[in-house]
Amino acid sequence: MNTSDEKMIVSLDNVSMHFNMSGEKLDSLKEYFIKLLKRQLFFKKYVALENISFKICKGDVFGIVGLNGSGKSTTLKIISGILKPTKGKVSVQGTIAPLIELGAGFDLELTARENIYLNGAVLGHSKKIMREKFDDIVEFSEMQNFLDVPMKNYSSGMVARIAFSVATMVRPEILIVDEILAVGDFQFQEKCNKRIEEMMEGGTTIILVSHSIEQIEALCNKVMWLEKGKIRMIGGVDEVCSAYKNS
Amino acid sequence: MLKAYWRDFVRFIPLLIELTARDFKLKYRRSFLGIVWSMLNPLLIMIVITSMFSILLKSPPSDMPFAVYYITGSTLFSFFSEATSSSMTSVIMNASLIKKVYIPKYIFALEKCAFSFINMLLSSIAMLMVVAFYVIQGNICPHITMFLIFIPLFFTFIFTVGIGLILSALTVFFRDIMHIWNVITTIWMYATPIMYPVELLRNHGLEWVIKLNPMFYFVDDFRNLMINGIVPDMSHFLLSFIICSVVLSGGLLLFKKVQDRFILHI
Repeated sequence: MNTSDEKMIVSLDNVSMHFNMSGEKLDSLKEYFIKLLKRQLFFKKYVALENISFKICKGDVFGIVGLNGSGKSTTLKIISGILKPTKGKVSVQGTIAPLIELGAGFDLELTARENIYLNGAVLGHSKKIMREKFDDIVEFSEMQNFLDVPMKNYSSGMVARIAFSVATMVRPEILIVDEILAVGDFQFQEKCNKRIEEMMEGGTTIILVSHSIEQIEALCNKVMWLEKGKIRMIGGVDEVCSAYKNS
Repeated sequence: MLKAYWRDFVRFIPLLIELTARDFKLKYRRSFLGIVWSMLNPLLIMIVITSMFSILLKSPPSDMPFAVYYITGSTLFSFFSEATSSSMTSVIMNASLIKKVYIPKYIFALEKCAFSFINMLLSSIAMLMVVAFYVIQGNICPHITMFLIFIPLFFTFIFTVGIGLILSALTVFFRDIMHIWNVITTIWMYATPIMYPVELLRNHGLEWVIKLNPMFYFVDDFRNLMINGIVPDMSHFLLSFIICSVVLSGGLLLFKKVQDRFILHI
């Protein structure tokens, strides 16, 4: 496997993420000062990730496995820049399309047409690009007849169709997928899988979190196994997956 | 470093535009008069206040008609109070987005200010109508200096963005601010000569209130340029410039310092 620097697209260096586990949130000044006076402002520290280092090369399909709460989603959020790590360095070369939760950028009061432009802007695309891609997006989602309906009247499957179409229309260099392949009906799911495969062939780097080990085995070439915020194992898909299944 | 910030900003300008457009669409969706309300509303409020004050007060606040005096001041101040209150909650309101996608978070506060600013430009049409009405009546005469009003407008905008950034950042940690800010803007409004003449404060030995109030400088310059045909002297502009730079850079620095912790509190 080529690990020369120019092909490196994501690298995490000794990344740790700590959260404050103060049982309640301090949302008011009064509480804050009372706690400050009582010297109760020292929170319990929760370590979500500890000294994680790994590299992803261009064109990799990188899988992350692990039990609930092992830090998979935190890792994805750190890579996509949503969370800043407490310690360590993250470097990402290239544009990211996060499919962390479909439809995050939607305003359900607006129509689908308006939301497509809004969501495109959320992902950092210019209006010009969105205008060019608009027809493709609509065609892929098959929602032509509902374009001018406010999205609050959509079913969740319909929302997901639009969201997936927008997120994957402008080909990103890195695609982050967090358990969303169960979108819509089986026909659309097949379409989604096909699109992701197309992207893989086109050289897009994919980071995939899934609980379905079959899916990981089928798609990925490298896998990282997280356990309680630490890397238990990282390497080729076969050795990690078989170790994970036997654990 | 700065270049990277700039590139990030440019990349998200389309988002700024889309969010502003969304606010407009949602504000006037299903209303019959739509955007006309942005002009009609300040006009109606002005009529109410003017009729109230013509009953309560015998003497007008200055030699200009009260309606003109009031609407010039209130146009600017309503922008300030509307923009700051809406940018205050902008980060909290967009929590779902911030948790799932990377976006420079100051965009949300900036967008609310931009939206209110455009709204103010629309309500300026109402202001111009009132001014035109009194010009035709012969009570005031138009001055070429009114083309310079963009200067105090610009200062007000920068000042408001600075305050908006500070508020939006602090509100994430202390929600109390949401409740108290309404009171503060009310006090602030009465500390700014909008409904009463500047002399009133002077006569009561309260001139320091004006001197400490940045909004006074903006409103006063705005009125002088718009109605009186007086170009404020450079020291006024210089002072406004300094105030704006301090508030904006303070806002940016504070926001930058705490923004990484937003996600843990929203």
